[in-house]
Amino acid sequence: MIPAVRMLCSALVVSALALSGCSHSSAPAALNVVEAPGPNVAEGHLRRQIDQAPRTLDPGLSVEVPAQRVIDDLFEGLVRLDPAGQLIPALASRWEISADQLQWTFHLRPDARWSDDSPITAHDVVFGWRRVVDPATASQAAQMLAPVRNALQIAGGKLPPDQLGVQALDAHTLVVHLVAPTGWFAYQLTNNSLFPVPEHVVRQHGAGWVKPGVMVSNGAFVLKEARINGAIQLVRNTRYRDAAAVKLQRVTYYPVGDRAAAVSRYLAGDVDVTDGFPIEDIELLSQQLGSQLKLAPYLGTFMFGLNQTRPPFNSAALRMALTLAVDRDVLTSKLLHGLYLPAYTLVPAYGGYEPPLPEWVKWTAEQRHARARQLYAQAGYSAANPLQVELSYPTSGPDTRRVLEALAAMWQVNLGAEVRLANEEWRVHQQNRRLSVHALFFNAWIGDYPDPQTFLDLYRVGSPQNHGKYSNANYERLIALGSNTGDAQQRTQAWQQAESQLNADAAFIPVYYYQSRHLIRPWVQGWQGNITDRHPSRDLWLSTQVSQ
Amino acid sequence: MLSFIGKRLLVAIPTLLVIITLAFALLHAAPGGPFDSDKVLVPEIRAAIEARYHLDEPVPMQYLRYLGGVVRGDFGPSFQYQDSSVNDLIAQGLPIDLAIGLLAMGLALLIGVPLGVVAALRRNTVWDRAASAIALLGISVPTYVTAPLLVLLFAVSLRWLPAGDWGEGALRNLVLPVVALSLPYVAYIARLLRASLLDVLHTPWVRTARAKGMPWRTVLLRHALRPALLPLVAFLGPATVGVITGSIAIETVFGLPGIGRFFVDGAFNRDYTVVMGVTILYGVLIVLANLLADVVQALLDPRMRP
Repeated sequence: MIPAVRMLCSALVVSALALSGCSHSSAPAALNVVEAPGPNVAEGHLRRQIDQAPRTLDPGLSVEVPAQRVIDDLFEGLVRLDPAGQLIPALASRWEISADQLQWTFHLRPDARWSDDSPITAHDVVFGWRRVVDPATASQAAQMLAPVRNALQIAGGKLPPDQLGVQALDAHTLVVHLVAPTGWFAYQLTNNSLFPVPEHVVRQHGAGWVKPGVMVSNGAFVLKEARINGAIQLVRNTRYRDAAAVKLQRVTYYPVGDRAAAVSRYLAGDVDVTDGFPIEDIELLSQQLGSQLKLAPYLGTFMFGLNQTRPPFNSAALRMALTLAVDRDVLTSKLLHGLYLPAYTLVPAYGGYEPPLPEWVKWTAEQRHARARQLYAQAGYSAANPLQVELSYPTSGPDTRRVLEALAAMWQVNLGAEVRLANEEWRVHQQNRRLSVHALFFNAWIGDYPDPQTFLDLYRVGSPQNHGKYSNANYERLIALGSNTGDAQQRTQAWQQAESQLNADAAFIPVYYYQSRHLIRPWVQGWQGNITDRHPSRDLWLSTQVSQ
Repeated sequence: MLSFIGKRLLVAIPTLLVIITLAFALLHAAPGGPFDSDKVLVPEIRAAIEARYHLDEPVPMQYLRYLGGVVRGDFGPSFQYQDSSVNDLIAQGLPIDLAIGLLAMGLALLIGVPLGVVAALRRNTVWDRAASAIALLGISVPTYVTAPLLVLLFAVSLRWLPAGDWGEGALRNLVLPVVALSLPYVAYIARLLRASLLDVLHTPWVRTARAKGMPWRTVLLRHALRPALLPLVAFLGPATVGVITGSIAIETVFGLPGIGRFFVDGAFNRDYTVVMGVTILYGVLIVLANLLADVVQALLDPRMRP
């Protein structure tokens, strides 16, 4: 056999084995793991996969994770998150907060410049923020500015944009007026929509200002090439205020929506970092790639919503029965292979916040099930008269379907309830949820900023996310208390009490907390798992000295 | 011939109008809107955004506004890709689909035609069976199976070629998607040509030509192959459009920035203008390809001339 043919034949066998390994993880075959760094490493060229093409590269319009990845490299806000996810000064070198906590004064670095060498001023920030809330911009990110005075009125067309509570005292001093004391406002500033944009370029080019060759930015990198659904190429910004700290020369983002295809790209040596992998591959990948697989707690919760305004879930006993009947440990350890963590509350624990666990967490499964059956009977259901309800969820991959089937089975076995799975196309589900059509429905939330309020606001009366129409006066009081106090300890207490209230009312069914998951080549350095799962390329570098 | 082409083009206008109207009605009848998302918009902001895109107007009014745009060659803004118009998206994606699609069709012809001819000429021999087996495999294994297999073999295991990405049209990036896309067409072409060539080889005129002692090569090339190509030409019109528009699985597996993904993502995200724009484009392509196939058939066969 000629060598090429022999090589082809052996590769065929390995591929077939790898394929069978993917579907039967009990007998994984050897994957072809890249051991040596490619030429891109010496060139300082990082290649990252993202889940889909960014819908926009305009910071003022961005509301999605893939766009955030790229925009975090192109632009920089007043503050930023360090690799561990902690807030640090960025464009603003320092800031002061007034005694009533309603006025924030930021001092911008006078030496900061746009990539076209023009100075970055407080006016660029004011211009950017006004543009986001201006109805003419039609930005879905407008509500991100809600803490700023008049933002929502302007976005709703009731006031002109110049009434926004932000002003430039001089070229480098910015004053922001808030609606209420907002302890997490500094975190909100890391949201792309609150980044400055170059007024002179946006005015000149309009919507086209984000095209390659036109875009002017202030981050560690500038845009070189971009194609929707294709590669996005960035190169180092030599005019970045902290250019000396940036070690990479180039970054390329590859949008690959299919997670299996993303893994293929990684295994083929085409990318150095992925934004995920299929859940069912976790065993195979962790065996073969070892420490290249990175998991970290993420600020997100998967739960079920319950419509509390009408039967059957206007019964608190029934809601609690369903919550108690879920064996979260089994779900996360057996079905999800430890990829996600069991959730008993709305807010995941993170540095600075410990959610109050309900008492039943300590019970044995038998105790929990017994109590669940008791409450189920109390709500008027029995073997002769079982609960029959539909669980509505958006069409998604087999991972989600498997979890839902397991949950339905738990409710069947532990209570005798008959829960039918009803899938809906994604946008149909969104619409039906918004219109509170469902009784029992799929729900998930990724926090906008690391503070419990981003989660707790979901269940406030009048919140557009309160699809189950939960309403409790004590909860409202606690949230108002937490929102308006300037005292950090008092706030945390209010949040914990509010969570306890939600748990006591079984306002929703928590299932699991998400974790971020990535595949990262050993030569990518500087990566730290953090709760917001943001990893700007400025904090990463490539090393030819690889240590596994 | 010119008046025939002119007439066909005129007939295409009402056809396209029907396509546009149906697509518009169906899209707007689908529940869920472009701005329904996980994070529900505050009602005032939602209203402001909908007004910006004229979605607050009555549907007939939106339809007329859209038609007006189409007449001017403006397919409107994309709701999903806010930095781009639909015209931008098509201008970006079409060359990629054309390149991949036409290369795949070229490859399919290059392999499929000889395969079909050999199968017909060596009927019921091992050659014929081998060609038929290849054809059957090509037809029955879908591209979303062959494409990942090719990636696994040539990109992941052998590292000969990249697992995806357009790579600005570099040859090494094109090989796998083009091969994967062409495989079913190789099969169709081979089977079609085998059948039609067999028919022709049994016609009286071929028998006569052979009886008169004409060399076999001349009989085949001049008298048999030309009529045998007719069904293939009729097939090639819609097939070429199919290969250009039908590469959605290929685009997804290889991460190519073509139109197919805009179309599918657009449908999922209720990006009305993108779906409409691509529908119209596909409609025009089909009309033109059918017309071209008819013209070529007429050139090949005088009986088919108008």
